[in-house]
Amino acid sequence: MAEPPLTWHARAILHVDMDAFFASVEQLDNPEWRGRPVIVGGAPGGRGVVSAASYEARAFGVRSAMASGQAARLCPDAVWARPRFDRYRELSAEVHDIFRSVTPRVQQVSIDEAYLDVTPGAYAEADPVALAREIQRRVGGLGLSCSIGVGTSKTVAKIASDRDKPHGVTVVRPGREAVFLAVLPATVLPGIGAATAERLRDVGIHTLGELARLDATSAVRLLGSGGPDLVARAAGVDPRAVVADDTVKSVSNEHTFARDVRERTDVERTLRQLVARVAVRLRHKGLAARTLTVKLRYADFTTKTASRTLGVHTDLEDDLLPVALDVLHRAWTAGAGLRLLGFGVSNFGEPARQLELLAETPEEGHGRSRSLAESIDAVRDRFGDDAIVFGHIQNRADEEDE
Amino acid sequence: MKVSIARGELLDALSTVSKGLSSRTTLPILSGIHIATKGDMVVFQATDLEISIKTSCKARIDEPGQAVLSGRLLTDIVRSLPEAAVTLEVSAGGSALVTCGQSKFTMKTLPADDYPKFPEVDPSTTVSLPTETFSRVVHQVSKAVSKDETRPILTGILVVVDSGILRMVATDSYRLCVREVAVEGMSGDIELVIPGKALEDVAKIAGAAESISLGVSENQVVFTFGDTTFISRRIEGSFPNYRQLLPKEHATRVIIDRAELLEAVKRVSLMAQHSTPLRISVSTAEHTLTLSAAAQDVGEATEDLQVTPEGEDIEIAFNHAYLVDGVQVAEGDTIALEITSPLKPGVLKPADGDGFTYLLMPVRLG
Amino acid sequence: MTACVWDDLPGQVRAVGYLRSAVESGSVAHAYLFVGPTGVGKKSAARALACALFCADPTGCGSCPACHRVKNGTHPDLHLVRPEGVAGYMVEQVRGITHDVHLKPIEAPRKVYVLEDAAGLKAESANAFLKTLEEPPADVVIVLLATDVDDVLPTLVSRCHVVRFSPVPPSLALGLVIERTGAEESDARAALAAADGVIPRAIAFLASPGRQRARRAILDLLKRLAVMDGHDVLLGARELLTEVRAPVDETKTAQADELADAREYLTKGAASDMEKRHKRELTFREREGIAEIMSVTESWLRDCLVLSRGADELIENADAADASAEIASVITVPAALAALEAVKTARSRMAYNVSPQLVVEAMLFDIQEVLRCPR
Repeated sequence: MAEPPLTWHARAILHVDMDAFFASVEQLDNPEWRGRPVIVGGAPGGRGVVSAASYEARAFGVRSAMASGQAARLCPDAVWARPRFDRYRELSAEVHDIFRSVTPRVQQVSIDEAYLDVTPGAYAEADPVALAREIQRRVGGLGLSCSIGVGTSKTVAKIASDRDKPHGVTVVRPGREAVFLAVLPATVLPGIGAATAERLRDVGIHTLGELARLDATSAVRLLGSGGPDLVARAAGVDPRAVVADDTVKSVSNEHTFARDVRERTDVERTLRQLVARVAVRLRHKGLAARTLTVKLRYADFTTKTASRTLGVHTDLEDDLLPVALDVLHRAWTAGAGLRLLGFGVSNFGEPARQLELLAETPEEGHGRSRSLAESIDAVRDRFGDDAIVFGHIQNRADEEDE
Repeated sequence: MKVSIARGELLDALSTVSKGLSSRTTLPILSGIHIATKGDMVVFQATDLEISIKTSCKARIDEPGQAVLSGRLLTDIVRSLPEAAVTLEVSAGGSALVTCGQSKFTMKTLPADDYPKFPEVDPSTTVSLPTETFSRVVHQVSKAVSKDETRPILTGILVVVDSGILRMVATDSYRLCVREVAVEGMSGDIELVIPGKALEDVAKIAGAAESISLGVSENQVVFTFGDTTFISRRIEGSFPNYRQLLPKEHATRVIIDRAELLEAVKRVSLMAQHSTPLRISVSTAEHTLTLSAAAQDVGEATEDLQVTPEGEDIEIAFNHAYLVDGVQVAEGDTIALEITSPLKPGVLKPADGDGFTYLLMPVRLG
Repeated sequence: MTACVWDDLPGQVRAVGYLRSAVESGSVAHAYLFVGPTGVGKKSAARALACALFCADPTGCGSCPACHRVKNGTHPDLHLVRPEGVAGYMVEQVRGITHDVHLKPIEAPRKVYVLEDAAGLKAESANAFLKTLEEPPADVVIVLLATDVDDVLPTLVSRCHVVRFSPVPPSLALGLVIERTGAEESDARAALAAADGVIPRAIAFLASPGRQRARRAILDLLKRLAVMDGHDVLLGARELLTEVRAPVDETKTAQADELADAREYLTKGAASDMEKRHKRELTFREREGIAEIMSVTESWLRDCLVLSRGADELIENADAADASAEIASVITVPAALAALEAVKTARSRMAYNVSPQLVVEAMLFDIQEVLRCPR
């Protein structure tokens, strides 16, 4: 469908979503795999999971974060590739360069997804739709494919990019947001998960159009404090700005205890979870940090922070955790009641890498623990942080249940 | 077959051929040692189909014959025996009797005819090397041999003999070790890749012999020392051109006492996490080389060494295990560390003289 | 014994001709996939190929020491491998092969690797093998064996020259079984029926008194089935399974002996690998035994049908002709087909891991219903 030559007099945001990114990279680097189902992920023999699946494999029902064994049963003829995250990051950076040449306002959400503010006159000159097509063409020049949503807000652009995959450009022109969203199921809105959708269905809300008509009181009751924002977004109103990446200064996570906690094991367990979550987010954003900060709030509401700076940038639990525990124990004495524990990292840069003399040797040591961490991330992305916890976290949680 | 052998000699022979036993095989015969009489000697053989070892010792032969016995079990039995004559008697019914003084053990035997034929190698070239030199060179380069089977050629050591010089080269693609030594009276030219494990095994079991003869054929390499013949299959493929990897120049050169550096590196490494790189900074003004565990707070694991630097101030980081390996096997009491840039390989050499180069790739810090 | 190794492969003229000319013209490929039904000579052809490649005479003299070692399975440069895992090849196994591939040969000018049941190269094991299959060293020939090209991962197939082996015609198969065992024609025919036409399996059947007893047991049961009450059928099924398991128990005893001998030689890990392999073999043997009595049942039901059409010379179980003739006089085609369907159902239940006892009982009750009311 050709877009009418209208001028775009509003904010213009693109959401660019790479199509089956990891699998496409594998097909790009291994031409004989093109047109064939390709699954990137851990060994189907072991307890691996699928990190990504090509569209050919998705046709068999293979999804990311599925157990590799199940995927192998669904699609026995698939080509299996071990994830090569360094290669994905490399191509992601090239894609990012394309974005940056279009607008300075690029917010990389994850390795294969970004928002671009291309508001005419503000951050770009050309027509947003033409820009979307150009981006798609240039990404195509790298041998990759992406789908793009064009809208006046992040929410609209994000939902639009998912309408026509792979290799689609979906345009929602200014003023058409509510019409576009109204008929879509409520679950397409980021923030509406299965459980929330269930609650909405109970009150007769199935579509975004229906959600958009919900009054503020009911919104809070049904959806919590963020409810009114979700209702506004369902109507296509979303003032959130595209935040350029360089404005990210730290990544952190906090946990408020239901009661004051004094036990060393309890506090350590919580810290482990916080470190794990922060590390996942770092990898998700493709960042590595050098400075760690542990935040403590005591029963009397006094707050204290303690930091330490590492010699190298890292995005791995294995590197962060021992230091985080050490910082904790220097700052806190077991027995002192804690109300809140926080962990954050800052001071971003490139992670350390062992260089090689000869090309094409597989990753070693550090590389392996990285690929493990990253395939776990695939599951966490899909099922939430608690889907996978390492043995020691799990065990302690079990003890508590008994 | 019935033979008697002094316990010590028997144990030596068994220990030697045991290096050729396969550990993972489910074919019992490959876990067996083939024993046969030959004149007034007993010949022992073992193979895992990659290496084959044959050795012999003097014995009293009461009845000639041959048999295959469990390598592990027989070695364990002989090890437990007192120092006296051990008699080995094999009956037709598939069992063997080991006696020594009052001790008696029965063992099962396997049909000797099923045992793989010992390879016949007809070397096209042969050189003779002093065992001590050979073993030292193998020890030095074997640290850099790759354990990664995806690039089979790197699990081998390049062995070159050329105009009286013996050269061995190994690399796992993170480091590269080249060792050259002149051997008096050595003649012949060879160049081939030998599995690293085979060379290490030969170095371990050839200790008592004064020299080792190294013969090369199309497919195999044969080591002969004392009464022992050790054959290994060669690796297919060609070794990377290592010469082009050696830096031609450097920006900084530091002369260090090897023992002092080794101790300092080990101490700092103790403080480091398992994957942590070790940072090295050189200050020409202060004549120091500073080692620090890069993942820790600077200051927690830092050591300054007084050195003689030439060239520019520089900073570089290495995997500590690779650095320890290199300093440990380096030639000379005083060594030189040459650095070109933080992203180019660093080189360890003897401070004066040639013949040893240990090149290691740095860790790129963010 | 033979003047040329290729002579031992009757019925595979095309495949043999292709391979033979490849060796003789020096254009042997690095990787082959031999495809064809079980028992038609794929492995023998792979051995013949090895002979021809190792022997000084490119036709494979069949009598020199190298040829002998290939035939005895003791040639160090011929590697015959079969899957060691429950679900196929294990990655460790493939790594072992790859390691050897990159070492030079021991005696022969080349190395030959024959991988049975290439359908068992899946996902990770296949991936581990791809690079080797794609660019092995020049002196390596890899032969994959499979019953169906569709069972093998396309990434593997595309790297191989596919050589198709044709099914051996029943008349030729019968002749071969008689020639190789010296059995009577009627016995050979019955053996082939029990073995689903697979020649080596029929030959093994004729050499196993236990398996022949199991066949007799099912035929006796079928003969009396129409007049048995429910209790008798259950009892009969139990006795039948005892017969089926008797040869399996023999295997079990032989395995126990093998393991006891091997323990003196092998490391703990290797011995435990052997134990696991034994267990899988037992499960396989038991299932094979059940499948065999099902084949016998099918062929007996076909006999009934054949006799009812008056085509007496086509029956496969001459020794049970009295009973089949009795049924033949009353059975209709739809009834016979219904009974055959019951066997087919039983086979698919076995495939779903239902207990053999239950499967056999259900099958017998279904057939009994047909036999009691054969119209």
